[in-house]
Amino acid sequence: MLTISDDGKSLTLNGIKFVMNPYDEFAVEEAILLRERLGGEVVAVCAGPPESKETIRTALAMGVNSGVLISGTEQLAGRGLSMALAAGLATLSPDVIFAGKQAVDSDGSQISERVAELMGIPHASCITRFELKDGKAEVIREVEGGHYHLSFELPALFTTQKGINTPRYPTLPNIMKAKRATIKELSLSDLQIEPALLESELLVERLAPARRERRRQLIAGEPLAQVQKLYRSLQEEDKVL
Amino acid sequence: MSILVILEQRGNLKICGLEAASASRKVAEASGMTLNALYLGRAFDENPSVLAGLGISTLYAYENEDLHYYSNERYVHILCELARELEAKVIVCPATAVGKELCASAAARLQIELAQDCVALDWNETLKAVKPIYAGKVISDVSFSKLPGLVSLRPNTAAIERRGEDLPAIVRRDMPLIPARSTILEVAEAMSGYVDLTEAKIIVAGGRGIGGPENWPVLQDLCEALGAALGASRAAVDAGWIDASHQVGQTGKVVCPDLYIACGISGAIQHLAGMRTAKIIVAINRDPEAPIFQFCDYGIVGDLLEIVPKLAGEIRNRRTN
Amino acid sequence: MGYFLWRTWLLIRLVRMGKRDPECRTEHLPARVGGMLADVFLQRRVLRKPVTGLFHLLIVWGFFVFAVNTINHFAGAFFPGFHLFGETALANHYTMLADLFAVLILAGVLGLAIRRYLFRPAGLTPRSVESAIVFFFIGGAMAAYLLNNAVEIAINTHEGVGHHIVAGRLAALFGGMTEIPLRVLGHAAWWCDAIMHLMLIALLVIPTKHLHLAAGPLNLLFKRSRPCAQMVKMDLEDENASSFGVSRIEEFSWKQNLDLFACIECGRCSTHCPTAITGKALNPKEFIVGLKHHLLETGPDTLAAQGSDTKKDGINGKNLIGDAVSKDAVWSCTTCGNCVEHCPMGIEHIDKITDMRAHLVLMQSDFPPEASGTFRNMETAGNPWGFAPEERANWAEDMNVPVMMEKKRADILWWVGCSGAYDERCKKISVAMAKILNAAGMDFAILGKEERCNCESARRLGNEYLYQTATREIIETLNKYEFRRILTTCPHCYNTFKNEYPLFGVDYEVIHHSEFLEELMAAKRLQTVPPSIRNTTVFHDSCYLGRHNGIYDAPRKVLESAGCALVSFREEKKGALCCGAGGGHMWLDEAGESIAGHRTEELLSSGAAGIAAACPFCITMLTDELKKSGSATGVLDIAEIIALHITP
Repeated sequence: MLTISDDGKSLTLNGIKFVMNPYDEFAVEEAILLRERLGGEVVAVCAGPPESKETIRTALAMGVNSGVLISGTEQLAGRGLSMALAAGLATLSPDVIFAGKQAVDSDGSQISERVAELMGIPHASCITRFELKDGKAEVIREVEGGHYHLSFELPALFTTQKGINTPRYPTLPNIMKAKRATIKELSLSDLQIEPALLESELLVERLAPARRERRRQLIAGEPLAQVQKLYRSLQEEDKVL
Repeated sequence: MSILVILEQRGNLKICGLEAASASRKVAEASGMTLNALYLGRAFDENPSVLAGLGISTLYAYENEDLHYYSNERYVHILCELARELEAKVIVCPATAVGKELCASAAARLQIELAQDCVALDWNETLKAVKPIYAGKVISDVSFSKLPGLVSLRPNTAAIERRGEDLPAIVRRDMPLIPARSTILEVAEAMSGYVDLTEAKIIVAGGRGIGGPENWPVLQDLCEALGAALGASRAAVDAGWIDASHQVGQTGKVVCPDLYIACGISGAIQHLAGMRTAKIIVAINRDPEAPIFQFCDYGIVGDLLEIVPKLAGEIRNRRTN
Repeated sequence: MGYFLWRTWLLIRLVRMGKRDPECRTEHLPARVGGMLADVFLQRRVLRKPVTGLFHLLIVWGFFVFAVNTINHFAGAFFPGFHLFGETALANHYTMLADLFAVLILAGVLGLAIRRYLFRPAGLTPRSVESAIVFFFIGGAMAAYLLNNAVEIAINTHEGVGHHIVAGRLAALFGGMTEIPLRVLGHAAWWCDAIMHLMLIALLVIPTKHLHLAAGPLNLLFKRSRPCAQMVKMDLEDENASSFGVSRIEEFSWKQNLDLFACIECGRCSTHCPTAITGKALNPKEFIVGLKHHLLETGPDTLAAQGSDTKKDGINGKNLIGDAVSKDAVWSCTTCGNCVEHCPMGIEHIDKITDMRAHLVLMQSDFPPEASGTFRNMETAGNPWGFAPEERANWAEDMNVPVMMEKKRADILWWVGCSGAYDERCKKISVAMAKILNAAGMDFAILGKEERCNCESARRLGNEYLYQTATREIIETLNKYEFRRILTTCPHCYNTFKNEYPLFGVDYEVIHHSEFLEELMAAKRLQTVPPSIRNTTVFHDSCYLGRHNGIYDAPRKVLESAGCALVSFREEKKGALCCGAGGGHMWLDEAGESIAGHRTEELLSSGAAGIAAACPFCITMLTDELKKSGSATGVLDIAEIIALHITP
């Protein structure tokens, strides 16, 4: 259950089941699809606490070839986390990197793009289609009210949007194989990074629960008055129009 | 020391950029810094009055045909160069799909922190921001312990504030562009009147209560007024009134819009499973006992064939004013 | 003879090609033998259709009676004048009996043939040539017997003529013929009789459905004695298992193979199957027959290949799933059990289907795509719709419902279930139940946020892994607390906790709220006010409460004690039609005609003013249908009905 800790600055995450970020599932699936089309190897990389190995195992159960955990990154965010990830990825020399468009806990949408920048490779976010053509990556990326059709030199990084594919459901043999697989671990010292350099310079001052219950506000009156009131609420209070 | 706000354009300046400017002005006034703006695109030939009274000191317009469409590498290069030149301590950008990507790249290159998708900005000895996390379940107040800092501002959260008629000075620059490792093959606008359901921000959906397929135009009109996608409950699909690609629900599409307007939909749990994460749910139904009224933010008990056209009309009225 | 022995041996080998059966089928042997004899001699299952059953009964009894005569007949060929009973009075009485039964058997054959070919009942499609052949040989043998004896009497060479009560009378017909033609006719009849008997024996082992003479009683002897809706716990940790579930015929158990040979293609399964009568891909009879043909077609090759390393993907290019039976058929089943209930031969249809589903899901992730989201939701959110787990107890706010996390121990652990916790309509049932529990002063508690879906429906869909993961988690949670018994308002939850959890090493006492309410009412723990108007109510029997767990009376007693005027109708209790949500179908799209629509029509035709049920799935399905048809009739859970009558 999501509860805010007593210090008001962090979340108590006990009893919470951690799962793979839904957007990452699209990324894993796209990588596996690419391997099925063209061969090669898919490595799943994750930076996080030891429990993240379970997430990597989910990726293995879906069919990636191997997994790497970058450890010691629990306190990092944004700037520092992307530096650690970039260093870890650099050891693998990937041709294409897929990632989910955002993490649904931090809602950040920045780590993967930062990683690409640090690695000096071009990237695009929110792709809804990927194709490898003559050694170049052709993607469609979403923007508000339309999309861009782009061509990229490799290596490149892409973050996946919903709708690009349907992530496969792992078969039992693959789940079992994943349980037994060894996951490589890279620590910050393995990557020769000084932890102090990675410390976050964006501090959380306070966490507060947002409104979670539905309002259940029935709008009464004549139809015209009802829609006027509705419009005002949606436009000014909720700002969804 | 200054603040730099990025104005997004699509031919013309987008509203989200003007909102970002207003939000940045608040920070500028509190911190005593100058507010500058960055424009990348074709020749800036809009009526400058669009920037009147926003508090922008200077608009730096990088004009080049090849900057009309967003190119990550070129935009990042220019942004970082300018930020360094102006010693920008705070950089603000609208949190659009393109804006968020641009911010992340720039933050990495400048080696600074980034608060993404914020709903409010402030200044109190340093830059502060408010941002939702966990899909909006938790609000987090953050502050930058070191500057420069980058923030992206969610569209539609700040009001555009104009005081007076002062216009910014415009500095036009025509820089040679760096080569990019990606090329734009095509830029496509969404077909007018058609919005894809899966990641639509606004959805209008119809259920058994619409009475028959002849009434879809009523909802489609509202879709057009809102720029919304059209959805349907399983009842409507089973009745053969609409194609299954519009079905929202446990066995249809799972959607996560900002606004979901359910018309003539009872709110069976299988339907809720497909749209429960919507930020705001509006229910219009003739039956006051319909379960959906337990699950909505706003409910109107009434005839949707009467309510929906009035709502579309109200939206169009307000928008033209 | 040689053919007979050879084919018999093959059939036996084909049955034994099957794996070990999860149930020990020879336990309680005396009871099993008794049951089998009762089924065979009293024809009690067949007699569920009384008229048809009677005709068949005549043939069955006739078969046994004639056994003596058949022995006499063939032995008499080698030892003339042979009679099993010698020259005793018994022999004479027997002769009378035999004559009588010859006619009765003929009547039986004629009756059944007329039913089959003239009246053409629904269950007997496609038209069976095999049946015609068998009718011909049985009828023919009887006619030949009578003719033979009649002729012999006419020639006056037969002894004990007085006791041939029928043949004796027939002999008069031949009075006018001379001896030579009579002898020829007599011999011809004798030979016809012999040959037809031999043909019948051959027909046994070709095999045709006539094999049911042997396979049927065997199948009934080895009939299932464990609960119908108890699925076997697969050992998913087995490192040596190359595959889970069934995708090849040799992966069935020997009992599952025997089932196939016992099938007489009577069609009772299909005429009662909710999917078959609504035109979906599954027709249980065709399903079993398809499997039987597959076993006969590919079995011999598989037997030959055993021991060698060659394992062809599909022998003769024929796969079990896809060719013998269609994938759509496998997914259509709602596991309602009507097929098993009505089958006279004790065939267990459901397990074959769930075994194949398990293979498709676990090994190939090949299942209806709309189930994928539901599986994921069950796994990550602990409920099929993906609602937040922390909201699971919201329905109970301000309802004075204790939570186990605080209380630690209670007499009753009330398992609310996912529907009762999250579905707006079903929350009302939970509210009613809470009111009842408090009014009766019960010591109870719910798990609240700690409750999570037991994934019973995922298990029926073949996702054994998800089910076992959930089971382990739930048992861990339950082990933290002390309680005497588990109360549940959902028959599916009831079934899995009661019948399937013991296979995981726990032994909980489980009670369904219909039984619980009956207890309460009988012990007068609730003060109820009789209603001013006695509403006519019809009770819908849920598959997992009624057929699968034999609970028919408890909910009815509860309704009566609440003052409802219960209406009885034909399609109730054991033969009640499914609502269509079982077997995981709550989470799938439905093709063709609506099963719930069919059932709703049946319930409405009973003429009752209201419908009562005791299952959240059934209530959801029926409510939707009633709304769709614009009917004013409503559905209420029995708890809601009781709660209406509790004195405040």
